[in-house]
Amino acid sequence: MEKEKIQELKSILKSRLNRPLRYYTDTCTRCGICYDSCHAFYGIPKKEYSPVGRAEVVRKLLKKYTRPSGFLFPYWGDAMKLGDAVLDQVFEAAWSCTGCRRCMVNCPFGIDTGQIMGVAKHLLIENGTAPEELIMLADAAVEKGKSIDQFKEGYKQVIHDLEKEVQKKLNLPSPDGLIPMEKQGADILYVGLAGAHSIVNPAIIFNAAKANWTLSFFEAVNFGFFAGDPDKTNFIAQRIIKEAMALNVKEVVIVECGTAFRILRALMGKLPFRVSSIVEVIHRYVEEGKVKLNKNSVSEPVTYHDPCQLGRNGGVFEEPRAVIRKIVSDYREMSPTREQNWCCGGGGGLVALDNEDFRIKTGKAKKDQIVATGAKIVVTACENCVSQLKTIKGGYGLDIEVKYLSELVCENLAIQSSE
Amino acid sequence: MWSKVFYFTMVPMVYAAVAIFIGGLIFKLAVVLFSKRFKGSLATYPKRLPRPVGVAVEALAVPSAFKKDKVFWLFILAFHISFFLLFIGHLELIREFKWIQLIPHEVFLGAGAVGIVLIISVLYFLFRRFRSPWREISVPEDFFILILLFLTMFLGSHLHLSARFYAGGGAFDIPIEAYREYLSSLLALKPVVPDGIAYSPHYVLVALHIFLANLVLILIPFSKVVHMVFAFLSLDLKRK
Repeated sequence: MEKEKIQELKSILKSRLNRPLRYYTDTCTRCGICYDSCHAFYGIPKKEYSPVGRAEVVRKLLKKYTRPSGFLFPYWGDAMKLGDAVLDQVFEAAWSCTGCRRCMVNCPFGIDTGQIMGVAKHLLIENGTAPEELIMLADAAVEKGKSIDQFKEGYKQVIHDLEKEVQKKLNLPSPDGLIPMEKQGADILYVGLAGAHSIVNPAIIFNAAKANWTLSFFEAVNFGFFAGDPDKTNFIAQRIIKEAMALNVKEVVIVECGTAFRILRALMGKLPFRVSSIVEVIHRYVEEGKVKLNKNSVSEPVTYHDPCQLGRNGGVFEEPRAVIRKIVSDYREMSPTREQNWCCGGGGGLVALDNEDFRIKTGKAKKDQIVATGAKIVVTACENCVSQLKTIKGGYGLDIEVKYLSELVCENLAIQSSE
Repeated sequence: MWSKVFYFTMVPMVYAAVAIFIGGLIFKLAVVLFSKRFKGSLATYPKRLPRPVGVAVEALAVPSAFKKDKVFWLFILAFHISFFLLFIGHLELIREFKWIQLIPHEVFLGAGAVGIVLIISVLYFLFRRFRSPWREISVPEDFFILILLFLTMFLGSHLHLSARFYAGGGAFDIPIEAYREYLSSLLALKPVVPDGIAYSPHYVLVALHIFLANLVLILIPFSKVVHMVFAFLSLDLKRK
C-alpha cells in the first residue's frame, strides 16, 4: 500500500475520533455480551459478523494510529497496521452491518457499532473500495441538490400524473392541486422517495385529512449516509432543511424510510421545524378522527416489523401498532419485539447492493420470527425493510404478503363522499 | 540491594503509581471532554427511566448481561461489589473509620470472603476467555489485566488471611497496626516502612503485592479498565 494512501487513511481515522468514538474505543472490554445480538451473526455465525468482531477491526486501527500504546506496544491491544488485507476486513465489517444498533441496546456500555462502522465506510471511500452503486447514487442526489431548477418542471409533470391516482381513490371531482408543490407557509413539507407509491399513498392520506401540506422536490433517502460519506450526508440532508426553511413550514414529514427519518430527526442537530415520520402523522390523523379507517376489515393474521431506525433508533413503536390494530382483527406480535426486534438485514444501504445471497442468509432471524407468528401479512414502514422482506420471502419461499403501513391504511380508508 | 528494591516499590513507586493513576484519569477525561462533540443524538428507545437513573441502573446492575448470561452477570456483580468492598477495606488499612464500622468487624469487611470472591471471579473471567467465541475476540491486554488482578488479589488475600489466621502471634507476624503506620505515613507524605513490615520474613510478599497493585493503578487509565469511568459517559450518550 502506498505511503500517501496510508497517510490519507490515518488522517481520516484521526478526524473521526470524536467524543463518542473515544468512549467506544477505550471502554469496550470485549465481554462478548453483544456477540450474538447481530442478525448477520445469527444467519452466518462467524466472528467477523459479531458486533465486537466488526468493531475490533476499526478499534485496532484506531489503537495503532491514535494511541501511544498502539505505537509503542502494538501487541498489547493487537493494534493493526493499515494494509490491503486489513482493508478487506474493514470492508467485510462495514458492509455486513446494517447499522440497526441492536448490539448497542445489548451492550453493557451502550457502544454504538453503527458509529464505528461509519469510520470503516469512510476509510473505504478514501481507499476507493466503497461500493460504487452507493457512491453513484449519493453523487446523483448531490447533483440534484446543486441544480434543482433543471429538474422542477419535469418533476411537476410526473407529479401531476400521480394526482389522478389520488383523485380516483378519493372520488374527487378534479386532480388539480391534490399534490401541492412549492406551497409557501404549508403546515407540512412531505418528503417522499423516487417510487410513486411513496407519494400517492401519503397524498391520499393528507387529502383525506384535509392537511395543509406540500411535496418536496427531493427524495428523503440519504445515499451519502449509506455510503458513509459525512460531507455528502450533510449536503443531501441540507437540501431538505433549506427547502423547509424557504417554504417556512412547521413540520417536515418523512416517508416510510427509517434512515431518512433518523438522519433528520436525530443526527442533524436542532432544526427550526418539527420532524415526524409519516407513521406518526397517520396515527395523529386517526386519533384526531381526521382519517377514518374501516375497523377490523382485515381478518388474516397480521404482524408488524419494527424498522430499526424508526423503532429502536427513533422511538416510534406504538403508533404503527395502534393504527394496525384499528384495521386488523388478528394482530400478532413478533418475538422478540420492539427494541429487541431483529433487523431484517436490508438496512444501511445493503439492500441496494448486489448481495442477495448474503441478505437471504442474514435474514434468517427475521424469517424465523415471521414464521413463528403465523402471520400472512407483514406490515412495515420502511422502504429498505419492504425490499428486504420481499427478498426473504422469495429466498425462503414464505407464504406472506409484505405491505407498507401507508398502503394498508389506504386500502382500508373509510372514504367520505366527495364534496 | 533487595531492601532498596523493596523500599522503591513500597514508597517512590506508590507515589508514582497514584500520580499516574490520577493524572492519567484527568488526562483521559480532558481528552474526551475537549474532543469534538456529536451534534446529533445517539439515543436508543424506549427510554423507560429518567436519564441519570437509567445510566446508573445500566452501569451498576448490568441488565444486558442478566438477560444474556446469568452466570456471567452473577460474576460481574460479585466482582464489582467485592472490588468496592476491597476499596473500603484498604481505607481501613489507613486508619479506622467509624462509618465503616457501622457493621462492627475486624479489618477487612467480610473476614476474607471478599478476596476469595474476587479471586474466583477473576479466574472465571480468565477461563471464560479460553473458550470460543471469547477466545477469538480477546487480545493480550485482556489476559494480562486479568492475570495481574489475579496475582495482586491472590497475594493480598494471602496476606490478609494469614494475618487473620495467626492473629495474636505466630508465624505470620505483620500486625494490622504496621499496615496502618505504613499507609498513613504515605498519606502524610512522611513515608516509612515500619519495622513490623520491614523485618518480617514476609516483607517480600507485601512488597510484591504493592508492586502489582502499583501496576494495576498505572494501567487503569490506559487500559480497558477505564470503563470504570467511561461506562457512565458512554451510557449517558445512549440516553441523550
